[in-house]
Amino acid sequence: MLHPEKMNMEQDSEFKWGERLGVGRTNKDVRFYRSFTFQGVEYSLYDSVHLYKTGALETDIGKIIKIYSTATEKKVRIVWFLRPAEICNFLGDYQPHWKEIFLASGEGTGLSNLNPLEAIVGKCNVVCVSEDTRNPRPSKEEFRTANYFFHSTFDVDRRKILQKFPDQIYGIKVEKYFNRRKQQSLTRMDQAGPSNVPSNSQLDKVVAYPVKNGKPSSKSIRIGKESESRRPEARPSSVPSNSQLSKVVLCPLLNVKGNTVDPLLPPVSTPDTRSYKKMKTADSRLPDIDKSGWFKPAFWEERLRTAEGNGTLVLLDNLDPSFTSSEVQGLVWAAFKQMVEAKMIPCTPFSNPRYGKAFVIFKSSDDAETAIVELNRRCLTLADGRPVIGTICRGTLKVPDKTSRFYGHLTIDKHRLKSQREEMRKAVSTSHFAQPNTVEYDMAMDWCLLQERSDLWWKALYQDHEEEEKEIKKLGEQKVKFN
Amino acid sequence: MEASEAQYAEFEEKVKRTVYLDNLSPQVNESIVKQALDQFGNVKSVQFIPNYLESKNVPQCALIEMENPTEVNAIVSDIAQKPFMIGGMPRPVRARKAKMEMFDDRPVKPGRTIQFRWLEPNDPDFEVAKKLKELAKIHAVEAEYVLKKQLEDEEKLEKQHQESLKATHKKYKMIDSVIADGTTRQLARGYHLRVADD
Repeated sequence: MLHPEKMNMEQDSEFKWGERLGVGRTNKDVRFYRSFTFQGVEYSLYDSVHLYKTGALETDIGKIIKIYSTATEKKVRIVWFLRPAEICNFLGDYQPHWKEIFLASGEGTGLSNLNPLEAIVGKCNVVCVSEDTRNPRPSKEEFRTANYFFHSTFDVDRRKILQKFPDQIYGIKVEKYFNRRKQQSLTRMDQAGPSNVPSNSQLDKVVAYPVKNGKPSSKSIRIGKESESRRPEARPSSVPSNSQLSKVVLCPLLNVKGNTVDPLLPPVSTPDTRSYKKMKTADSRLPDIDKSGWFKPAFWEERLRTAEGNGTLVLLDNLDPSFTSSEVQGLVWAAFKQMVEAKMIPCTPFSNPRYGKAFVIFKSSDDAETAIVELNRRCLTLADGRPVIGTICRGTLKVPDKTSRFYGHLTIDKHRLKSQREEMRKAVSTSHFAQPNTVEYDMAMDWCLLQERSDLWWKALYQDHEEEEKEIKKLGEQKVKFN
Repeated sequence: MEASEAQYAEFEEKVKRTVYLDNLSPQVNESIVKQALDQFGNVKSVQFIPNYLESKNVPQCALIEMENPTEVNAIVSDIAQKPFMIGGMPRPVRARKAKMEMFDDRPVKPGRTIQFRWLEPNDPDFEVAKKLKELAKIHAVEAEYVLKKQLEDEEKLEKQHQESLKATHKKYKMIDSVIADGTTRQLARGYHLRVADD
């Protein structure tokens, strides 16, 4: 893993501002930009992006409508897209597509927030499929490759899904939220400059507010995401409802008020879960994006451990080993209607080649338990007849331990064997082939023998397993015939 | 997002130029592995496979992406023929060609859909599924046991080696000391043998 400071340096060196649009009117330290490059990706105004908050299961998606820097901070103003789950109490009869999201509109909590630029984790491909005449239609290909689409807005004030787009959202012309015109010229972009954005003067006030530790370089990516991504802004504003509350507050607020059954979770006995013989197809495309690149392995491990502590970590066993992480995510969504984060556990020659395993992080421990109860009461079988097994992980994760014992590396007092000393030191720190005229070689041969033997016994074991499984399946088939 | 054909093909290529190493000591880190395999070709990336579930004494394994499949083949055959030590001895590492399932971030195979169904307790197939579930659990326990046995065997072998190494070491020390204190020369004189000093 990279050392945090090293990450910082990398991050700094990977960061570059794009074209500057202007400076703040009242505070000359505020500079507006059209684009920036962060971790090798160029972001421009009106790009849709993923923002991540540590501990969250899903990223938040939003559109960048402003990019600026103050003396100490880099900020982006984001108008949010809302996932169906975030507004599930207000969907009514509306059945959203799994790829569908809603653009926030109106005025109020949940519309928009200022975020530290470092909270951005990646670009998100969102297309607008609205019939609105102002919206250039996406091509089929664009639609197919999109991570998400939207064709309506969600008015955060009235809490309603609106098919009709307002003329402005957060003071920005709605055209900016639609798909870009292919020949969209730079002049069009220019209109979006801060000079004609009404909220410009508000922004200038931002700097007057206490900023968390002043040195920009001391802010690592992690800190940015952990503590600041949703920091409620306390700046005075002519539209108090816009900025006083952070987005995080939105979901609980909405959920409490609309105390209805979550329409995303179908009751257990909906007709389609009863169709016994018909196989259902899990939409493997469900998981929107390949997130693997976002998180360093250590980061994932950290989250695994937190999830285990919270009781939200489930180990799914007996999956098809060729499943991919996103396919497991799709399976869980199709079977439990739960949006989860899943990761296959890589197979090794030691692990049984016929049992695929995956870690799944549920949103809450209740969700995880419901899923497990469901898995135990009924059987979730896959196309080849294998039933999925799930267990909630409690103390299952092994603690990595540098003291763990590794058998087979011997050391001897090197001072005694003066002639070999230099050679040995080199050998230990690097690598070498054993030479046939050494004790080491003989010992290595013993190890090779043991390795070969272990290969054989694993093979034998797994062959046995396969036969046992076949037998049971055969029994089942016979029974079906008798019936 | 649905992985495009191109993405998948690219991944397949990556698998082909990746070599899997196991029997690695926990002390071995990325740079040591890189250094060790750089003599065979150009190491592009090293990725350790995390072990969350098995006993902590299971050796490390890693996926090493090389420049091309030819290098991978060379590594696999060389290491199979001669014992290769990384970061310690005498336990050699093992190399195999990587398989797709070893990557936890593999893309979805294009065009594949996953099918499933729920079996209610009154379904005729329910019993079979139940039995298969039990079987899978038994298999997991068996595998765990075999792994435990293997680790025990490894420990035994290590002890045995430690003993023999000690014995060898003692022998060399003795030879050293008889040369040093002149016993060899006395004996040589006694037997009228010529002993070279070097």
